[in-house]
Amino acid sequence: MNRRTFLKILGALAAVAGTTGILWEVLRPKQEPARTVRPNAYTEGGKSLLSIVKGKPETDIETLVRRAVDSIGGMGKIVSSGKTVVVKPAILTADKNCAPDPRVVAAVVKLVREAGGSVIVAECSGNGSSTYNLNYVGITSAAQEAGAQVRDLQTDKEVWMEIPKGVKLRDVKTYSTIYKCDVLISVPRLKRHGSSTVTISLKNMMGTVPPKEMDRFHNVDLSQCIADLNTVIKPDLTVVDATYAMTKSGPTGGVMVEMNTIMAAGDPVAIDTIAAQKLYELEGAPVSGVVGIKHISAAASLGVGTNDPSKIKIIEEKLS
Amino acid sequence: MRITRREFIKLLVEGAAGLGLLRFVSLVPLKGQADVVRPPGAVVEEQFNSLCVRCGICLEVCPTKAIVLAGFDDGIEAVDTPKIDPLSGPCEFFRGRCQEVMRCSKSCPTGALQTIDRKDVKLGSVEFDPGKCLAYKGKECIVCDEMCPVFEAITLTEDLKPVFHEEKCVGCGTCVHACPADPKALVLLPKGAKRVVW
Repeated sequence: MNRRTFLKILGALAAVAGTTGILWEVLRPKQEPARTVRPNAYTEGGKSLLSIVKGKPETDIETLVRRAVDSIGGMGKIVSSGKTVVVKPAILTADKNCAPDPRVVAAVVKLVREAGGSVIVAECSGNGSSTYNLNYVGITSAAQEAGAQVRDLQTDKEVWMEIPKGVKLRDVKTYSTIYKCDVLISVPRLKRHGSSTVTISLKNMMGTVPPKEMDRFHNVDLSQCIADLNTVIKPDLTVVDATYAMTKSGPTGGVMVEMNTIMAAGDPVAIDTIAAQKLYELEGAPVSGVVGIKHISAAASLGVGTNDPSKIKIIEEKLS
Repeated sequence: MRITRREFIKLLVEGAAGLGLLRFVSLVPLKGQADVVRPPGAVVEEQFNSLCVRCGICLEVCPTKAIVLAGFDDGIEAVDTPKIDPLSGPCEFFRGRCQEVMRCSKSCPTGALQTIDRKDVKLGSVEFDPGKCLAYKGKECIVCDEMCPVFEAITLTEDLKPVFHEEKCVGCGTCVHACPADPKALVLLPKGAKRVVW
């Protein structure tokens, strides 16, 4: 080998190394900063506002939802013209008792649009195809009729995000739709989970991450991971569908009990606490058990909201 | 082409040795009953082998990709026949993208898979290893119970550990697919499968 050949080889190796380096830097997954989470817009005198509106079986569902949201201050407190709003129903699987009533979702969509926002109803189901599930439970057609786009998050681009305040979860993958939206609204049905805990707004946020992340939460510490997740993916408003609540067991196969109630709050910890109390009362179970629901108290400890009833102002209304 | 007697005999012996070797690498002994979980509506195994022409259409039409083609480790006589692999996808006959439509049985050209009623469908049942289960290790996990589409095939103890009831299990593989443990605590077996007699 002569000097010229040697230099040519060195040059070629340098070009390969340089290209590889550039490609690696460009293509490697990058961690994004945590999603901006705004403080609760629905407060009064330092307390979290929470509405409970009960109607009769024949009461129009849109009326219930409108009263519930207006009682705490109205959709205009978080949505204004041009905002992108994600409405996240808690679907899980192809089960109409598990998912919220499509009329509740449609009513929320309508309120957002009246306030000037554009709506994407988004979901990543824990079981099966989100597209199929959204359609099966009637939410796709109801949401589209109300003027929303419907998005299966599993078709969306993943975003890897840090969780600065996370205790067990320091980072999480979510979806671009969630990461970029201006406003996030959680619409769960009031349900038992297993036999001793509940799935309401905080747990609903698990449907904003890919299935592999859901698996990770179960392997690490489910309750703490739910709390950690809610520090970066926190709903600005929660509307709980308690028209029928799932009692005794859940999130599927429980006993459905008619309550004809809609609840609304900006604070997801507060609404989980009070809604859980209502569920326990309905079953005749001791309400003191709510204190033991780990993911709710873990979220309170992280400052996601309050689980202290003395810091929650409840506005109850019975429609005739 | 001219072949000598010696070359011909050599070819025969090599061929036999080759087949014998293939037979040897099958983990399941050569018998009429292959030990695989078949799609819902499958006829009994002896008839299945005669009827199934290995066309692969059932695999293509399954909306969850639950059906895969069996390989050599399922027995040489089962190669390229359809089997259910919950790691590829769960059978959503009971709830989900199939919901009793039974595209697999409807498109089977030979009747190896038949359209049957929900009450007659049992693909097999799951085998549970508590040593691998997250709940038995003190973690909060009841995903199997959450996802099971059949009433009380899985129940929970007081301290939230899953219990599996073989007589109610329909062998859909949903719990196997959903189990977040690695390695999974559940495996789907053909035991107790209900098969159609053609």
